[in-house]
Amino acid sequence: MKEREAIRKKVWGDLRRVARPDSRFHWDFTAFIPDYEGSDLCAGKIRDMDSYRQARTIFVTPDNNLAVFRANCLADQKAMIVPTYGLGRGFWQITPADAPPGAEEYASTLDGLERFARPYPVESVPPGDRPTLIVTGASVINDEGVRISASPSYFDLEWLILQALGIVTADTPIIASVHDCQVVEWPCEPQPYDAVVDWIVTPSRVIQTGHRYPKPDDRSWEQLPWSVISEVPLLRNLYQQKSHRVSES
Amino acid sequence: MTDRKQVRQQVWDVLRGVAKPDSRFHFDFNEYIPDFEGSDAALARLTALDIYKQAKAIFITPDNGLEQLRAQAVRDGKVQIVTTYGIRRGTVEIRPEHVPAGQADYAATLDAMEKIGRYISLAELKERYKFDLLVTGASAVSRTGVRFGKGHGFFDLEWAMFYQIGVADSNTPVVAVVHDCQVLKNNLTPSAYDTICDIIITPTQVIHVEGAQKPTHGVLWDKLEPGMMENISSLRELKELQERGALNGGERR
Repeated sequence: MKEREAIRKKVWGDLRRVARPDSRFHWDFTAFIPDYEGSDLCAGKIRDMDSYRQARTIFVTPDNNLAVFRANCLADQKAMIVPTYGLGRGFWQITPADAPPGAEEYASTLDGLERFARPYPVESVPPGDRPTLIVTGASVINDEGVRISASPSYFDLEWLILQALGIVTADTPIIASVHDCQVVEWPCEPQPYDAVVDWIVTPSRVIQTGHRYPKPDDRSWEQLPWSVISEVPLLRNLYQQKSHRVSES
Repeated sequence: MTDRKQVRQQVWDVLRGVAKPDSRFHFDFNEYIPDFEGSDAALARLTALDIYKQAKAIFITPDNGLEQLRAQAVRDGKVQIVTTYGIRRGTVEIRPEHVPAGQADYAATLDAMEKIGRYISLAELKERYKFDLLVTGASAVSRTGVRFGKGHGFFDLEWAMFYQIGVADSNTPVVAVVHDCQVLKNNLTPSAYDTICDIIITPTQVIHVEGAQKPTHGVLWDKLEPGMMENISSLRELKELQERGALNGGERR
């Protein structure tokens, strides 16, 4: 754990030189994942991937480095599911029809989502509105696709919620978009609730991780600390439904 | 001070019913001053006033309730000076000619203003500007013009800095834009440290405050909250200007 923290600190030091501050959180990387020089190149590389071309709906985290990617999605006529910051108000959905032409960049920011997106009712999603691709940022990631994140991270929680509701599955590919300085060669076992990343895209390369880790499943919930579950209303409801089911069987 | 905390909390409980969430802070009013239902009506009242129509350069705080004002100011050809959130990255100048056509609403958001506008130092502000109007949000404001912010005194600090560099003076009108529920029924006695608002604008009314006083002491260095000197580069710049004697001349204070 100590080593983990040391690695994160070291990467944040390097990242600071290429990163852009958040409009509210300034340079506090514990509060947000920053945009960085070359994030547009990452977005361009994902645009060339088959999983992107074939997707109609994409799950995208609200990380600042994915703003250009989100704008691309709208321009390319893709719908998006985006969690609200810190899952504070559940999930957004936004389709190209929600943002007028020319407003793609505006709609791609968190302030823009407030204006253009609509709540995504996770409990009643028509199968056609389910995402077939997941794109996330990361603080630090190893070359096997294990995120060296706060544990559990919001992405872990988002994935677990969507998995529990059948909106994403173990087969839904996960792409992490990061700066080269955020990729480390540091072997590390994932936590039971880590959804390990299948592809890493940086401004200079695309890595297929080829990892051997199964995606989390229903048993992973048992590993989540209650302090985390109780903080996120959606998670708490789902957890209570699950434990109810378990006690009935 | 505890009184003020209590009053703020009472207002926030009501405000919650008409407030709009922030993209990061949701409904945590300790962290931001929210936009609210009817802010467009308040904006219409403000833009109908001569002090707005005649203004060329306006200082506007980065409060969410003023987002539409910032967009309107771009469309009306006004130059606006906006502080970054928490003054962490100083002050931004947004000139209408820098905003691409159709992007006024976007430029008005905190996420975009630093991309479209440009940072401006106090020294450059001092050299190039005299504000015609200052507009701020508030957590609560009394009919006597005493305002509460989030509790850090950012607006009082902004006023003090602008006063010291001479871009605002005792005659520069200060307008607070708030929801009606943020206007306090009880009148608070202003202290010498309060930047008293000249005009309070809500969706339903325009309140003129008689004889609104402004502090003329500048930044009180020994009264700053811990960390402010480290976190706010504008304060360090001001101190340097002061020590160099670069603030002398003009209106003597």
